[in-house]
Amino acid sequence: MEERIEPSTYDVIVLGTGLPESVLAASIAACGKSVLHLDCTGFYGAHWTSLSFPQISSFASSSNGHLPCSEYFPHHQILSTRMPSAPDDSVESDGNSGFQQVHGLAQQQHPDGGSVADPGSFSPPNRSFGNGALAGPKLAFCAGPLIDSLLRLQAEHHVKFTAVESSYIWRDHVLAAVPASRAEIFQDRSLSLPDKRFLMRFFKLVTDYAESPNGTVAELSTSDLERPFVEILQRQNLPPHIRDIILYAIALADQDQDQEQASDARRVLRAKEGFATLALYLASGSRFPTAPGPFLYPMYGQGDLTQAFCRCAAVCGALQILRMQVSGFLIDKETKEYKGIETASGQHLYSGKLITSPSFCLRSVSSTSTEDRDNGEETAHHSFSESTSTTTDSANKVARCICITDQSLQPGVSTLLVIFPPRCLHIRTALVVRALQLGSRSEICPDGKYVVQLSTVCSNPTAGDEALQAAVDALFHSESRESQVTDTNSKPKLLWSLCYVQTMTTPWANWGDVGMCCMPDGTLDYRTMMAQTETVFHKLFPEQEFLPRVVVAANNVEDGEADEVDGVNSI
Amino acid sequence: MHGRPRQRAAGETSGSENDKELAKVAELQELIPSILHNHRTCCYTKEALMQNAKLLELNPEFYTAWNFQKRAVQHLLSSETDEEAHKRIIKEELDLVYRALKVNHKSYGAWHHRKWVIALGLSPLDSEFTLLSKVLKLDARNFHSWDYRRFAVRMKGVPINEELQFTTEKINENFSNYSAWHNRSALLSELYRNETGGKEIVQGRLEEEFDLVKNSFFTDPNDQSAWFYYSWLLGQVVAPVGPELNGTWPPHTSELVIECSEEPTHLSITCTCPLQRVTSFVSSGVPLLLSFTEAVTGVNNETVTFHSEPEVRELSKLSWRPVGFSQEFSQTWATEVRFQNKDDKSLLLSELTNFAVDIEVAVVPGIVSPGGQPMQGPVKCSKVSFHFGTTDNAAKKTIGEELMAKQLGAIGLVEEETSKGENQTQIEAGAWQVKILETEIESILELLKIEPDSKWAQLTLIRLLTARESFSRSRIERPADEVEKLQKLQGLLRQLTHIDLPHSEYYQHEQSLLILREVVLNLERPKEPQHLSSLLNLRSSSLYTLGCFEHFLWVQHLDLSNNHLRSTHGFEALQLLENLNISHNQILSFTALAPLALLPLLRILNISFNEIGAHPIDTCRVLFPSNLSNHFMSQVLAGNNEVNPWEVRLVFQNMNLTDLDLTGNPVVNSSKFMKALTAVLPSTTLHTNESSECK
Repeated sequence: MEERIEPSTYDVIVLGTGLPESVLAASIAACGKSVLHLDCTGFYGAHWTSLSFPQISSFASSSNGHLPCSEYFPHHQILSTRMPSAPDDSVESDGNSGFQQVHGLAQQQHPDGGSVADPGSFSPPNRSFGNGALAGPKLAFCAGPLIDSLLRLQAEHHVKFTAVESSYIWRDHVLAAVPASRAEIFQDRSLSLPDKRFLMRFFKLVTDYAESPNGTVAELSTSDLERPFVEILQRQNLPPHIRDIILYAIALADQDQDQEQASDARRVLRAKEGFATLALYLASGSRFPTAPGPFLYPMYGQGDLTQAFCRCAAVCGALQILRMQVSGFLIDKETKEYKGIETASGQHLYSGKLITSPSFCLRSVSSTSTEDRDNGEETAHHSFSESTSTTTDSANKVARCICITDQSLQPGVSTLLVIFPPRCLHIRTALVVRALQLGSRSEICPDGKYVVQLSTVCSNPTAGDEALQAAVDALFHSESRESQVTDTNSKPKLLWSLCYVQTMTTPWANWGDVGMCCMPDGTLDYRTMMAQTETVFHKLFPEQEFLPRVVVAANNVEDGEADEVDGVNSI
Repeated sequence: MHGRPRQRAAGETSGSENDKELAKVAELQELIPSILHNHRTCCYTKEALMQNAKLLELNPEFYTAWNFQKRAVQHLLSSETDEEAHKRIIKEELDLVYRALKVNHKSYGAWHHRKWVIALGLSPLDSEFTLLSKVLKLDARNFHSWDYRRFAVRMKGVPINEELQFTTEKINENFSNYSAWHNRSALLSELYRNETGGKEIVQGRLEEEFDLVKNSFFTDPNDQSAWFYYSWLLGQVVAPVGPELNGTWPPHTSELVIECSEEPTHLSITCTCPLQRVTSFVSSGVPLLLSFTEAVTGVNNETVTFHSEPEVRELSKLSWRPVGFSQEFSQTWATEVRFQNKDDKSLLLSELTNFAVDIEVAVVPGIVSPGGQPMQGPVKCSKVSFHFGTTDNAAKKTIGEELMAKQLGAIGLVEEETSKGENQTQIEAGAWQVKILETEIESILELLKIEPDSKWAQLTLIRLLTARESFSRSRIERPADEVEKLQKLQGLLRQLTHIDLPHSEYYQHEQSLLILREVVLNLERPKEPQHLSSLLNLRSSSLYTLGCFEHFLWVQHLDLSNNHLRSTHGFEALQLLENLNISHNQILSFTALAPLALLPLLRILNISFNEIGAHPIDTCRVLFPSNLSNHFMSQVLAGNNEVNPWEVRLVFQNMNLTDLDLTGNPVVNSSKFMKALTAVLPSTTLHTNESSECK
């Protein structure tokens, strides 16, 4: 860290190697700007990285929820851990031998008073507010913006994907396949014949809508598109259980859409949004011949995704330095505008614009200024800005859970998604729970072991925890509850689990040439992340094209991407 | 690769690819002469084989090269005795085919060669299935691969059920795969043939299949593969066991009165049929007609027998002829009973005594359909009484009244003869079929509730209802109910005509057949007993075609004016027809009248106000069964739209018409035609315009 960084002036400095920061770094570098990309940790990914099993395991078992292996991660509010079968023999050994990574450990400070991060490094905040989060489950739509951006940047050779083989919805205490394609509807014997027709007709309507040049079809008026999606579904003769499939398993509504139960706090999915997601889902299902479903999961965990974008940035000339702690910002004395940063070693680096991850907090621009170093410069320490951090949505928390099990939820299927629509687990539980099972095909765990990530958007941690526990109990057989259930033999055994809650905040920065990236949210895919990232990009570079198409090799980009999905074969 | 955008043809590609193509042509041109030389000189050296392999990889369609390859393999196999060497030769051969298939996976030559190599039996079959799964993944509807798969399955002896499972997988992947559905039908047929477990298994299996295919068209009712398979399944439920006898003339329980006519060699025949229909005509003998549900062959003195009382020797020497253009198969068979004395000269009716005769068909097997299905028999079809000599009208009436008492209801074929027990099993056999049909009707109605405009669903409903009805027809039903059913079906067809305009002619055709069935129904069940003439009036009946011929064998006068007929296809069955009016129809050519030339009694023909001569292209010409069809075609191609006098001769020269009305057909304006016609029909009164009609 003693070495000086040369040159000292850049178009943009990016702090943090989280996914949005990396996408921005790559995009800006691809525009021909000079980029300095720093991360205070020794690894890529920041909030979006993947942690190895020993790291996360010790994090969970430590009494204060502190990650002993990494000083960079703050506390997480751990709701519960379960290690019913002696942890050391079955899991720990696996952890040492086989589990390469447990994916998706990300963190987020809660913007409550007093939680102050030191510049460049995350000091442990007050335990009572520590709301750390692991970002899973997250999946990419085959035809979604994330995959598109990889293709545009020619980054598809830097990361491999595995397809989610099938999705299920929890219905009547069993997993029922989500019929989302012609072939799936045909095969699904749990649907009645008329249901098949209604569902296919609805899908036809969705594709017609998606393909219509101005987004209008005869059956839908403009005002219909602003109405709640659930209303449109009712009008299409779709019975309740199919409405549930569409709302929660295909349109991916994060919260209960039942209008009778609706409270003002609940976010109701509008028809326009529902149609857009459905269209994307259907288009994704047929994008890559080697991917049978609509979703892709990055092999080796989500950390590889950020690395792919970082490599793109590097290819386009960005300078990346890890373990580079930043001690403060340089601010123009007169204009109070951003000028540059000061590293922990005291070097001053200048850039026109700055992009930071949300974990960097600006204490106060004016309050703590240090002595003048140069003319017209002062160093501001990071601080938390309270005014912009509160969110209006009452369902501002995401409860998440990581489980390790000994067998697949569905024999013969390695990667799968399970959706629990509201009230399917318990009549009072109106939360939507998602579970993503990852097996050895995604290279994040050894053969015979499975990682299951769960999440639910909730307004209070207790409700979230209850919903997750109910889902875990429904899916797995845990030894402590064996006496209550008799036929548990067929269920996977829960070996280890960790539940925690993350509070979502909105980016605080609204400051001149500084862009603030978003944190992992409660959605399943990357669309909100990409949209917010694009907003940051255009705020800083209104003239430039976000994610310009990079032309490197002559070979067909689409083919290349398709080959990355596993299960490739051709004659 | 249906529904997929076509790849650019080679010619449209860029210059560099064009150059590549030219280089390939040059290489081929260099290779071909030496390969042909090797082929002639039977040179099977390593070099020759390498050259040939190179050629086949460039162009797998070069069949001579495959032939050369076959000979080379035979040569190499015979020159080696070592088993390992044989295996190596075969493996090299299969590799070559594989490379050729990579160039074109739809190459007939390559697949055929592979079959040939595998049939030598020197290589394991498992690798063939690996290859097939690859190829079928690439294009699941490649019929070459499916065909080869059936071959490999036979070679290996894969159990049918296992192969069925494979088609299920393929259908699950994409049910718009008619190749898979078709293979399924082939496999199921094979399964039934081998089935020893009885009808229940077949029935259960069919129900499962119906369920599977229904899932497919409820998911996508516009996909035709499923509907085709469904229609095959329906065929399995209602399939008739073989051809059946469905009509005779004279009908059962008729009374024939045979008198001397004014002409010495002719008889005057009066037939009183059931329902008091009286037919009388003059003929050289008494015609006998048999009508079958489909074209058959093998109608002769052995298969058709007569039990007369007292015995009449003439009946054992009858010769049956097929009515129609085929010398072998026909739906209608005819013969004539002649009564002659020993000199074969004059008729001495007074010498004959009245007799009654039972006619029985298919006494010995031999009557078969073109598909080889034998007629189930024997069927006692007619009991006819012959009366000779003069009969006055009063006597005719008495006979009629006697018949009246006997026959209300019992028509056509003799039904009483079948034993009770047999009848019972037939009804039981029909029960499961009716059950399936009713379930299916319900499902289709459910689909139509959601998709009222689905042409496939509507058409299938009509087929199901028709099939359902065919099982209940034997039961006594109120005619009003039956008429109602027929009219409902007609309504559905009318609807289809609007929904599916491109196929409207098919629906109109089907509708015509239903109209005719309604006509038949009304004829057979008259509201009150009455004497009926032998006139059938079908004027202005919206007919696009004529059918139900088996019910109209008695017709002597037929009025079909003001319909939409385009042809007289099948009319040859109406052997007693004397007077035919098809004015104001859409007959386009004389060739469309060809079947009329087979009607021996036809005297008056009215074809006025049709469109003969109005159209340059005669679409009936190609259908016209003549060795000279090609001649006709060349005329058409030469742009000659004049009616060919040859056609006139062909249609009219054997007719004994007294009157022919051609008024209103453009063709009468051609003097060349009129001359030809007058030459062919010297004794016929021709009517060519309205004013001269009364001439």
